[in-house]
Formats: sequence, structure tokens, C-alpha cells
Amino acid sequence: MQEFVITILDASNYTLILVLVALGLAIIFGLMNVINMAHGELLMLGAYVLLTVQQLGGSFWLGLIAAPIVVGLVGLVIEELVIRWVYRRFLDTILATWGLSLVIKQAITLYFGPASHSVDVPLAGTVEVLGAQYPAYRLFIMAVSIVAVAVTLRLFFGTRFGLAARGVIANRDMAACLGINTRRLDRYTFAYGAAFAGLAGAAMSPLISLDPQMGLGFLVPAFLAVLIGGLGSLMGPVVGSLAVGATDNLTATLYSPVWAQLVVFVMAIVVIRLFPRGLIARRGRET
Amino acid sequence: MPPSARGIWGAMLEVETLTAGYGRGVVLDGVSLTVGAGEVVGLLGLNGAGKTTLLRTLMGLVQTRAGRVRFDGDDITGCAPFEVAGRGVAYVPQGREIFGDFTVEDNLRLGNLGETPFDLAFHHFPALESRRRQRAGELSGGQQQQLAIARALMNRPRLLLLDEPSEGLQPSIVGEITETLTAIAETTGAAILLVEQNIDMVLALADACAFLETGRIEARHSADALRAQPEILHDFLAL
Repeated sequence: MQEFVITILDASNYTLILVLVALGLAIIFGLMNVINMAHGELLMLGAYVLLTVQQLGGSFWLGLIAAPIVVGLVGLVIEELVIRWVYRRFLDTILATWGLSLVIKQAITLYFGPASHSVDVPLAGTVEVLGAQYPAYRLFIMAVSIVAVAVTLRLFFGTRFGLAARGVIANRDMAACLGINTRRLDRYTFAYGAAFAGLAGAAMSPLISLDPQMGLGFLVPAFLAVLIGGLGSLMGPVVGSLAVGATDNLTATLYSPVWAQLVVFVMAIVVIRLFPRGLIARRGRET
Repeated sequence: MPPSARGIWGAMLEVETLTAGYGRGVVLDGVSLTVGAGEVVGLLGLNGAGKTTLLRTLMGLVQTRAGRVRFDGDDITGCAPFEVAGRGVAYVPQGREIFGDFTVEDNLRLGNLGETPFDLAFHHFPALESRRRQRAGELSGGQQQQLAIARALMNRPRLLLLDEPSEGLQPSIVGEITETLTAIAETTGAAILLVEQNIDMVLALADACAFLETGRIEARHSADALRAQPEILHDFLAL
């Protein structure tokens, strides 16, 4: 029973982090049609912002708040310098953001060195969950993720900004003809997606080792999650993350980590073969 | 406003030798056209003449290659669609392009994210008020067209660009929409540039008609002249 609870909690933990990354990716793609290959590097930047704050003597919590803000601002700059020039050129967005990811990785390597760093776990204790002892910090991450997703849903479904954003996602040209400032919306949305990645990176940092290559390990499953879930709605990436996160984690725990990646990819291929538009978009289309 | 500020012709919308197209193809090849404040101008032409392209270019959706567009005397050539809309130009595209997954209310809200109440829209289209929480995709074709026009009204436009509002609708509904558009033109004082194949609708609404042919305006007649001599119309459209 205890083992079972821990397995479920671990899988939820991974899934919720994946949701943060995938949601940022999906919002940017859905709104701007930009495939952001640098999303993993934004996540990595978030972790390094937290590391820097700690090295300067700040607390972990200050770093956790600073990370999304700083990475969001970096997102604003990136949008202005790179992304806005490649809108409507779909393939170029992949090349441009991939180049960007190389630049960010090299910049971090130059400044912090290629070696890995670690961040101390701030909440060291454990909490009893259904009879099992579970690290408090992992529970905290889950809470952060749930709150962030809830805030995003509220933003998109409960505000005028969200209505405008959903209008642009549904029909960009028509939304622009109605007077919606697509330029400003693109800028803020990219920054929001970037801030999300920064938050995920910072929140994850005590659990993993920080190195300039860490982004890729999150980007690939997040892409799979977006593909599987579909881009039809904000729930798509959430469901996709659940599918990828649960499959990966449960296979690794119950069977072997070696097989986990393989099972995830096979699952992704099967799902995409059966539901080319993703699980959620498909369902939405039928109703 | 002094006459000079409104341009030489005193028109609200002035299009001067406008050239535009997609890719390498040229669709508009030197279109010149004026629409006065409160004037309703019908834009006629065969399929492929460039009527839709002209409206899309005016909105800023298609890039201008050459020529000039002035609105209220200000040069708006090359402005982004949201800037054009912000100056008081509203667009009802062909095929309506309503947001099918959104409610009627949300469609209207998108027409103006400010605090505009729905009163003007519901005044002209009372049928929409009772369906305000319904998904726009579930409305009938006629209601969707009403919604597209109502959404355009949300911005309190001074110029309405309408692209085939009668397309795919039953004659009785076309008559209804014609009446509503007449009322809108009268009560709001908005000018209308109307692309339409339905001659009855054009003649009922328009003060003047411009004939677009192979990317140019070939002629312009007052609606009175066309009503008196319908053969002008038939000759043109039978070409």
C-alpha cells in the first residue's frame, strides 16, 4: 500500500511538472504558431536564476519568485529580438528558436561552467500521506503546479485578456480585424509561457542536478504531451502530460527505467496514429 | 473639420491607385474609389474581380504594393488590421467567420473588449439576445450572419465593410438583413462599402455602385441611375 501511494505520488509529481512545461509550450504554439525549441533552455534559465539568487545570499523562496519574473522578462526580450521576425514562417521558427537554445546554453556554460550544480532542498522533512512518508518539498511542487495551472485557466477563461487570446487562437486574422492588438498579445503570451518554464525549472531545481543541458530532458516529453493531448484547448496539454507523465513514471517504477522512454514513444505513436489531432481536440470536434 | 483635412474629395475613405495581390499575382491593379461619410457604396464585379481582396487590403490583411488608402484624411496604408479597426472600420467577412466555439455574448465581446454594452447589437438583432448564452456555432446561417454584423457594430464603426452578407441565405432572410442594414445605416450614420452579388439587396441599400473589373474600378453609377436603367447592371454582370 505504502509503495503504491509513493508510486502514484511520484507519477503525479512528474506529471504536474510536465504540465507546467507543456502548457507554456502549447500556449505559445497555439497563439503564435511558433514551435519554441528554446523552451527547455528557458526552464534551465529558471533553475540558474534560483541558483544565482542563492549564491548571492538570497533565500530559496526569493529565488523561486525571481525565476519566473526574470525568465518572463527574458521572454519579452527574445520575442522582440527574434520571434517577432519569424511569425508566419513556421519552419523558420523552429530554426530560430533552436539557434536561440544553443546561444542560451553556451552563455550559461561560459558563465557557470559546464559542470553541474545542485540546490539544497528547502523543505527537508517528510509528510505522511495515506500511511506513506513523502518528501514535503515534492508535495509543495505539486501545489505550485496546480495553482499555476488554475491561475492560467482563470486567466484564459475569466478575463478579457483571455478572451482575446482565445479569439486569436481560434482565428487570428478575424480577431485582429476586430481591433485586438495581436502584437501586444503575442508579446505578453510569449513572456507568460517563458515565465511558466522558468517557474518549472526553479521549482524542479532541488530535485535534479543543474547543468546547461538539462532543458532537453523536459522539452521532449513536453512536446510529446502537447502532441498527444492536442492543441484544441488548454486541457489538451494537461491530458497529454498526464498520459506521458504517468506512462513514463509508472513504467520506470514498476518495470525498468530503460523501458520507460521506449514505452512512452510507442504510446505516443499509437495515440497520434489513432487521434492525429490529439485526444482532446478530437473529442471536441465530435460534439 | 476643414475640407482639406478630409482630403480633396471630402470623402471618409479614399483609395488611390491601390495595387495588391497574393504571392506574385496581382489582384488589384490600381483601384481608385471613394466613400463619403454616411454613404453606402455597392461594389459589384464578377467572381475573381478582386472584391474580397479589396476589402481585405483595406483592413490590412493583404499587403499593399502601391497606392494609398486614407481614412478621415489620415494615411492608413500598411496599417495593421487592429489599427484600422481602432480607427472605426469594421469588417464582416465572407463566410462570417464568427467564433463557433464561443457563446454569442463572447463573440460580441470580442467585437470590442472595452466596456461597450450590447444594446446597439441587440437593438438591431433582437433574435440574438434570447440566444446570448448559446454557442455561436449552433446558430442558423441567418443568425450567424446577424451575429457577424452585430459583432461589427460593437466597435461603433463609422465605416462598415460587408462581404456578401446574403451568401447562402434564404430570400426571406436576405430581405430581413437588407432592412436591418438600412436601419443601421440610417440610425448610426455609418458609411458602408458593400460587396454583394444579390442585385436587389444592392439596389435597396446603396447610394452608388462601383464596378470592379480585372483589378480596377471601371465605372461608378448612382443607384438611382441603375434603378432607372437596369440594363447597365445586366450588361456589366453578363460580361
